Amino acid sequence: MSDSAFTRRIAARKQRPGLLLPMMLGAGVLCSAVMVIQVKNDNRRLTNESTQLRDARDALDVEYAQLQLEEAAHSSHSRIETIARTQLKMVEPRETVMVPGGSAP
Amino acid sequence: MSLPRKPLAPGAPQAVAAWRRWFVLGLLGVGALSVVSRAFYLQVMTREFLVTEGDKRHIRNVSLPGLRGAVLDRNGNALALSAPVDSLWAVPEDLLTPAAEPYRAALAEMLEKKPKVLEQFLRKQADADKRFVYLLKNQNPDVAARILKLKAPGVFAERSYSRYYPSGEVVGQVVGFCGLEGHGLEGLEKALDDTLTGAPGFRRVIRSRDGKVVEDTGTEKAARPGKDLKLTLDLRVQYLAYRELAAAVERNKAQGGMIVVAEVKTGDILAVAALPAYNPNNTEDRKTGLRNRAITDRLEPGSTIKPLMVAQALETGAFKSESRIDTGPGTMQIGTWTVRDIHPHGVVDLPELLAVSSNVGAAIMGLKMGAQSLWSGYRSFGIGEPIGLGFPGEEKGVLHAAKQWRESDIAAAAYGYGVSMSALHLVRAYAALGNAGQMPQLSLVHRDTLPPLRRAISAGSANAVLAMMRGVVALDGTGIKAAVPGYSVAGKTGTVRKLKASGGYEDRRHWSAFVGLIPANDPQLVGLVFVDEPTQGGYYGGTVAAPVFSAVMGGAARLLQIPQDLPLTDGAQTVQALPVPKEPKA
Repeated sequence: MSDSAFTRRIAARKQRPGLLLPMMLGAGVLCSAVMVIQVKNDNRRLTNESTQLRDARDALDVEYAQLQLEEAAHSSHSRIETIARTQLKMVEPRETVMVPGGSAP
Repeated sequence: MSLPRKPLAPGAPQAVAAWRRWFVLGLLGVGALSVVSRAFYLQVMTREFLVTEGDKRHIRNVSLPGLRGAVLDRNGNALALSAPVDSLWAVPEDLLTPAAEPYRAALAEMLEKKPKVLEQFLRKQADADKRFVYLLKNQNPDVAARILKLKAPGVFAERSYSRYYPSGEVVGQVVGFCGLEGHGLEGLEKALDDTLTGAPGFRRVIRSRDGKVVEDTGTEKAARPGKDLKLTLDLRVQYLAYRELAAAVERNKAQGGMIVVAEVKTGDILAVAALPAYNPNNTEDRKTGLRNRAITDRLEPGSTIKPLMVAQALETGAFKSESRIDTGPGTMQIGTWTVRDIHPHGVVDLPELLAVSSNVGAAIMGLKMGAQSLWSGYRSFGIGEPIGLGFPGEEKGVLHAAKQWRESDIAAAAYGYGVSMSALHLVRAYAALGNAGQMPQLSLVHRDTLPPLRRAISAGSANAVLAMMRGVVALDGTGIKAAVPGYSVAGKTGTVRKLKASGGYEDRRHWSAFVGLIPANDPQLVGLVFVDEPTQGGYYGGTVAAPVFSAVMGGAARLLQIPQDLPLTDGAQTVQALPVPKEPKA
């Protein structure tokens, strides 16, 4: 590189303001940093929400299992029979006439 | 002597000694080097250790339970269910600090213990260096949650799953039960453990100091719940069968009994119960009556085998339906063995022979047919072959090779002694008689496609025997009490002397039996009732077992809406109403 070319380039640099690119990059960095914070925050919020939903689902599962148990206990044949015979004084008919051909309601 | 330094003009650059420049650079260099080497040490040398230690402090694996599948009957009613329970545990030391005093008192109250007792208990555990002690085991999660709300230090909850059996002893022996680790120990819970067991999963999360999940690491293995198991049992029929059997056992002061109801065309078992039974919910009760005797016990069928023998006689052409057999005085001597009828019946044809259940007649037929013919007849009805339910401890039955049979063995085999089988073998063989000779594969577990039927005997012979068995449930037959209003019934009674432990037969100990099909015109259901050692109200199959059959099969036919095939006013089919059965223990 000749000496004159070098001095010419230096002169060209001095003509253009050299701050634009660093400033744009700086702004970009700032923006990206804020966005990272935003995403991180969203992530936490959503994780929290999902955890709450999971907990709610688990609680519903627990309740469902208990309701199933309760239903099974209440609908147990021996319990129904006892109530039918003692409280409601029902008796079993010995003879049942079955009517054929009818469609089930 | 040196010259005094000439003061420098203000603002003029100061001359600096070269060594100072090197000294500062050196210091900076050492500093940089130490930073880099420290960074190297942390980032490269000890990275693994630090990462794991760091993760340990905030990354947690949350386990996701794989729930055990439910056991359902054919209509989807639950026979076995898993429900969550919580156990509370504590770190004794944390609870024993002075600051924890008020918590201890509140905790003691919730646990319904005296504070002193609780404290002593904790002290003892702490002295034994225990870091973990259960305060409460397997409680309703609501209860545990209420105690956790106290926020007592060092108290934590642990979730687990308990197994419940809503129908208790009614299906206890079929379903079985699980051990503490949640694996099946008895019954179908054991046999189909692999199907029912789920696989747990986990989720890796980052937790904050107060235990809140703040981030999902994205590493997750979903839990796989166990499959629900659908059985062929119909809980309504099962309950009815169990109730009637229990009532009969009590009415006749019997040792126990067994009962089976199955579909003739499919082999689906709708009910199978045996007494004594146990309640699988009650750990104390899980000691006696564990076996479902209808599946696991071997018994001699006695007279209930006669229809199979007659079917084989018709099949081979050795006898015809109208063949006449002289049963003489009702006894017959074969070597040292005496065959006896209860009453002498004289000359009978085959339907009469079944209706009055003549042992002498059966022995004569068996001797004429010969050992090989009898053996192959029984074999084709599946006797001595496994049932194939997959149930633990299933009985296969014993049918000795025909070569080994002496004359007395042949005679005995013809009326059901010296051959042994489970109750299910009889059910399967009778199903073949009711299904035009086609024998179904029995099953307790619902099948989407049925395995092919196996031909046990020709349709002609099966239908002829079925027609003969209707004569058993007639006014002059032994099984009239098995009649069901509105339905024709075909069946056979049996009064089986029990084997002595020392060999030979008991004089006064019997199985009262009835096996039959309903409706006889086009059998849909096969039922078996065996009552063990009835001591009151007779011991004949026709008086003890037949009424149970009537009650259960009548109820089952009604529940399953099987069309009636007889008018209700048919005199011969009307039976006296039974007393209202007593409530079995719940």
